[in-house]
Amino acid sequence: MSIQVRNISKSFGSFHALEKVSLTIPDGELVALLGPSGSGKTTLLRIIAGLEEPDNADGDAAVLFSGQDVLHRPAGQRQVGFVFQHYALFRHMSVLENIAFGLRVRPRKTRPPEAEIRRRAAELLGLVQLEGLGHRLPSELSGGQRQRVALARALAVEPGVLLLDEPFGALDARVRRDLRSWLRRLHDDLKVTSVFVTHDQEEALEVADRIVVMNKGKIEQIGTPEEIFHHPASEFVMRFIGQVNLFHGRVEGGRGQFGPLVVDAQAQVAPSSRASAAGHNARLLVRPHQWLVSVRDDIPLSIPAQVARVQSAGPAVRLELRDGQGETIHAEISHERAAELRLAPQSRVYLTPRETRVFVDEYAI
Amino acid sequence: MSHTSSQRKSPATRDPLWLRILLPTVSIGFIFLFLLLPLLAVFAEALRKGLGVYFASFTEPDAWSAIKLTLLTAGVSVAANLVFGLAAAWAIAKHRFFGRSVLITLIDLPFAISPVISGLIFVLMFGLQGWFGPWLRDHNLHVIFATPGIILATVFITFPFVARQLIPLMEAQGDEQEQAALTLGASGWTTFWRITLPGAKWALLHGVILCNARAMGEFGAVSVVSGHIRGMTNTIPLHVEILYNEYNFTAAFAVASLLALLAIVTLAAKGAVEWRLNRIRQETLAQEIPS
Repeated sequence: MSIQVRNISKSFGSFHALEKVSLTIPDGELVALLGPSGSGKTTLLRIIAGLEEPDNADGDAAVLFSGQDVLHRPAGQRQVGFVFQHYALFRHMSVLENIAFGLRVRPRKTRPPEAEIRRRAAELLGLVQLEGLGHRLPSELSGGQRQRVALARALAVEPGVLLLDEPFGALDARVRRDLRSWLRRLHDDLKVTSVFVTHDQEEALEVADRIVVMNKGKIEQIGTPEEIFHHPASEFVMRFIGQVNLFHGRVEGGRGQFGPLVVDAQAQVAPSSRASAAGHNARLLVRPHQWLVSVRDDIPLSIPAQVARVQSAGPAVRLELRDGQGETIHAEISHERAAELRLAPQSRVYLTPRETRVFVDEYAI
Repeated sequence: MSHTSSQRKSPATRDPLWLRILLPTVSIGFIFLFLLLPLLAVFAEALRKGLGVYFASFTEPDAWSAIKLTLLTAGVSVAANLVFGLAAAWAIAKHRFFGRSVLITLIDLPFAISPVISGLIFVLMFGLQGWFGPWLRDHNLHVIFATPGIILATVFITFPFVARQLIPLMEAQGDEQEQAALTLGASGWTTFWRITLPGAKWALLHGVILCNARAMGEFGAVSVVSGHIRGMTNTIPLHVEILYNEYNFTAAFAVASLLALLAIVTLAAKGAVEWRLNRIRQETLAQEIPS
C-alpha cells in the first residue's frame, strides 16, 4: 500500500510537534524518518498508525493508504503493523502467543481456525529466525530477539504498511548493525511498504530506499540516501548527516569570502539560497573527506593549518587540524595518502576544499 | 551471582561486634514482646479450658451469626472494591484527564479519616435524622443498624487497598502493551481482559488479600453503624468486644483467635504474592532499560 499524508499538524500544549506536514510514500518502499529528538518524526509515525490524532483531523488533514482515507479509522482497522521502540511485548504470554495475538483477537467470522493460527505463528517464528524459542516468555529473550518477536507479531496480521518506531534504538551497537541489514533483506523479500523512525543517520543511509529528514516539526528534505548525502537541500540536513567543517563569512557580488577561503559563490551556493545570495552573511560547509591535504603551498585557495592529532584506527585516517586562527578543522584522508605525506602532530599542511556548499542567511540586515 | 556472598567485607567497613549483637537482639526482642507474645496469648487464653470449649465458642448461635455476617461483609466489600479499585487504577494509570490528581488524593481519604468518623458519615446520611433517613423509612428500608450499613462502611474503609496496589504497577508498565494490542486489531474490551488484567493480576491479588483482612477486622466504622444487635448486626470484632465486656474471656479469645489465624494466613499469602510481584517489577525495569 502507498501512504499519503497531507497537511498534518499536531501540538502538545505549546509545543508544535508537526506543522502542515505532507508526504507521499510509494508502494513497497522502505523509508526512514530521520531527525533529532523533538523533530516530530515519531509523532508523524504514530499519526500514520492511528495511535495519535492530528489537531486538524476534522479540517484539511488526511492520511491515505492506497488512496483511501483512513484518518478516521481506529488503529486496529488500518491494517498496519507497528513495532514499538521498547518492543511492548505481552509479558505474560509466550513468544508464540505474542505472535498469534493479532489472529486470535479477530472477530469469529474472519478468524482462521486454531490449527491455521498455530501454523502461521510457527512460520513467522521461522521467518525471524527464532525456531525453538516459541515457548519462552519475553523476559527470557535478549533485546535483539525481543525486537524480532515484536516484528513477527506485527507481520502476523499481514499489514499493508509496516511502521517501526526507533526499532534498534534500545540495542547495543553490534546487534544493531546485524539487525538492520537483516531488516533490509527481510524487506526485499516481503516488499511491504515500511516506514521506520531513527535519529541515527548512518542507520538511515544504510537501510532506507528514501530518507525523510525532519527538523522542528517540518520536513527539510526527501530523497534517496545519495541525494541526501551529496546534495543536502539545507544547512540543517548537511550538518545532521555526517560531520562538517563550518566557516562563517559573507557573499557579495558572486564572490564568497569565508575567513581564509574565497569561493565562486554563484556555483557553490545551494539552490534554495541562491535567490538572495548577494551581500549577505553566509556559511561555508566542507565535509572532512572533501579536503585535499598537501604539504606544498602551490595550490591556489588553500589554507595553512597545523596537524594536532592523527587518528588512524579506522577505514580512513582522521586528522584534527588548527588553522591560523586556532579554529579546529576535521579532515579525512586515505591511509595511503597519510603515509605519503608522513603526517605527525605539528606537521604543517595546506588544505584545499574539493567541494563546498554555501548557505546564505535568510534574513540578513 | 555467587561471588558476592564469598566476598568478605573489609574490617574498615564492618560494624563493631557489640553493635552487631545489640541491634538484632533489640529488634528480635521487640518483635517478640509486642507482636509474637500477644499472638501467643490469644491462642493460650482461647485454649485454656480445652478444645471442647474452644470449638463450642464458634458453634454458639450468636458467634456463628457474627462469623456469617463477617464473611458476607468481606465478600461483598472485596468484590465491590475489586471492581472500583480496578476501574480507578486503570483510569489513573493509563489515562490523563482533568481532575486526575484530585482523584489520586481522594482514593486515600479512607486512610486519612478515623474509622469512627467514617461510620458517622453513614449515620448522618442514612440514619433516621440523616439526609436520606425519612425517604428510607417511608420505603421501609434499613441501612443503619442493619447489614447494608455495615457493608457500606466496610466498602468505604477498604476502598484504597486494591487501587493503591494497582496504580504503581500499572503506571510502571505504561500503556505500550495496550497500544500494541490495539494496532493488532483487538477491541478495547479484549485488550483489557487479555492484556491489562493479566499484567496486573498479582498486584490485584495483593490488594484483595489486604482488602479482605481489613474488611474482616474492621471495628470502628462498623461499630458506629451496627447497633450491636446480637445475632443480627454483630461482626466478629464486635462479638469479641461484647464477650469480653461480659467477662466471658475464653469465648472472647476463641473468637479472636479466628481473626489472628486470618492475620497469619494473610501474611503468608501476602509474602508469596509480593515475591511474584517483585519479579514482575524487575522484569518491567529490565525491559524498559536498554541492555
